[in-house]
Amino acid sequence: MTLFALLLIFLFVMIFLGIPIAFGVVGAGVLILGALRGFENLPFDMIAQRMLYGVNNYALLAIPAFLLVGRLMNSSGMTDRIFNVARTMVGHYKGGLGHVNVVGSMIFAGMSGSAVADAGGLGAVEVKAMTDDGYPLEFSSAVTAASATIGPIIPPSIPAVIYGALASESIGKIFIGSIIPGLMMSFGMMGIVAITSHIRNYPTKEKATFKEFLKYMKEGILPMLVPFIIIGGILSGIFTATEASAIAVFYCILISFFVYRSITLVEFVKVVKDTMLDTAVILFIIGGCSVYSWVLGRYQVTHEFIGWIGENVHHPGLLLLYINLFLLVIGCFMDSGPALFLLTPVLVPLIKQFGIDPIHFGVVMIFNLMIGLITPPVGTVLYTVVKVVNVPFDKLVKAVIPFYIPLFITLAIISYFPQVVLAIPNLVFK
Amino acid sequence: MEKISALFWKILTHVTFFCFVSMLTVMVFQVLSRDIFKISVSWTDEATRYFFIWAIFLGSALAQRRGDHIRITILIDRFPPPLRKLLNVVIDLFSFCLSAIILIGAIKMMISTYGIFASTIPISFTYIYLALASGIAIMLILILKDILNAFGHKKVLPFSKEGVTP
Repeated sequence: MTLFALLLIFLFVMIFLGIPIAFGVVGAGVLILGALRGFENLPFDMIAQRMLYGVNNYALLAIPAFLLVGRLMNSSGMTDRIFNVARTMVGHYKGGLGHVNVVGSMIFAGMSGSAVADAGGLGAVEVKAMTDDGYPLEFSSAVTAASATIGPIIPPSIPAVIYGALASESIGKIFIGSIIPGLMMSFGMMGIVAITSHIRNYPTKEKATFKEFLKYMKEGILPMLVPFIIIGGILSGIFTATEASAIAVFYCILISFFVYRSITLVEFVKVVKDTMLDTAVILFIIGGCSVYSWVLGRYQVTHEFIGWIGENVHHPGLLLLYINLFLLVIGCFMDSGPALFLLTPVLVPLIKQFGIDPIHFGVVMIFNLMIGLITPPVGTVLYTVVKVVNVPFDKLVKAVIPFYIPLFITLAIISYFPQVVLAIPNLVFK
Repeated sequence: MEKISALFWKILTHVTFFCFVSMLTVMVFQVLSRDIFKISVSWTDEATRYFFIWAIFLGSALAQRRGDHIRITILIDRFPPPLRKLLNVVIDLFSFCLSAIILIGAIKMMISTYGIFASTIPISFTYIYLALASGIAIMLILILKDILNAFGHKKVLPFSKEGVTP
């Protein structure tokens, strides 16, 4: 245990002192190797081999593909179309545009797997419309921030691809298992919007006529097909998650270039270049993580850790509770990506030992870290919203608080009723 | 020197872009041909992965230059500038040692895999490890430059962003 404790403390200290995450994880691995075999006997070639093999994985290609889809949707104006469709669907309820905000994020979540893409792209459209309609800025930006966390829960999901790759689990199963939790959190948020709107008497939009509905549906139908291609393709077993991502890229390029002609070649090249850099940054860390998790497994470090936890915690339910609390605290101080990279290799062997299903755990862990995106002091989605709509940070934090209620309730339900997550994947993937 | 350096980064960006776009293209081609037209082409799987590897490690070098690599700066941002500067040098030294270790490993692998070929494309693994070696070598030089700059000038190094969040 001592070795493991030292390693973990050292790793967290290094990372919080600002070492790039990728070097932090490789460094942790190198230090254990050095401590056990001496620094003169470092297996240089194995370190390089692990790093390369960590990214030499076909499943990971889904990361650039889904990142690109999210970016394309935003920069080719598809988000406006989605917003209009959502407005004709739920705009006429009390606090209509608040509901539109959540429903818009649900639809967008079916195309993009990133919360920041949702908050930064669709979010700006939503907040503007709500402000024009007389909603206070805090409320509209809080709904936007909260509903952005739906993005990586409803498939596709970049965190699910990362978790699946690091834990060697089926990404398709995690995608499908996240559908019900995604719907639960969305409806919960709409509940909060409804209650707040009744108390504060927020405006209602006129009910869209059937003709209007058809008009906006016709305008928005092509981007709205993306979720059906992705989720339908995976559910029916035609595509794996990675293949679905490739089809989605192809489809989005087709519609934004040839049908809507809403993006120029120059803009497109910029979008691709940004995606290329983001991909490199994420994948470089995954390569580093593969060195780290190899060392953890090879030198029995995780084994010792599991033994130690096993002596102190005896019930899987209790273990899940502790892990959830730990992740919530971590989520306050660390971004979802780094937390996923550092903790997946450690936690997955542990929960397996306790008989917890790794697909179930993956959904719980990702959900938990998504709550972390809207908790201060480090909440990337909060920062994105502040940057996009210029709302004061402290006001936004205060306005987001009611939305924690549906999130925590959903987290408790999916933690303790694994069937909520596992029912559909078990039915589909026999 | 300035001109050569600018040219170098321009070429590197183009090469990385080429790898990235080729990866996406072959990937889409593979899925379309396999799942829609039911023709399976053997080399596409390896080709996508190898383009991917090149795009990742060259892209990492580009990201290093822009200070894009993900780091957690919540604590360090609150430190007084002299301490921040010192800590940055320590971090750079640490990163330098690790890059050197990875580079040595990558070169060793390039040598030892010289005779080993990919199963569907006639290229040696040496050229796949070359991606890791060249990306890391460029990062190593950039880090070294940062360290020298920190000792040479009084200015506090610019901070990288919190980075991308999936």
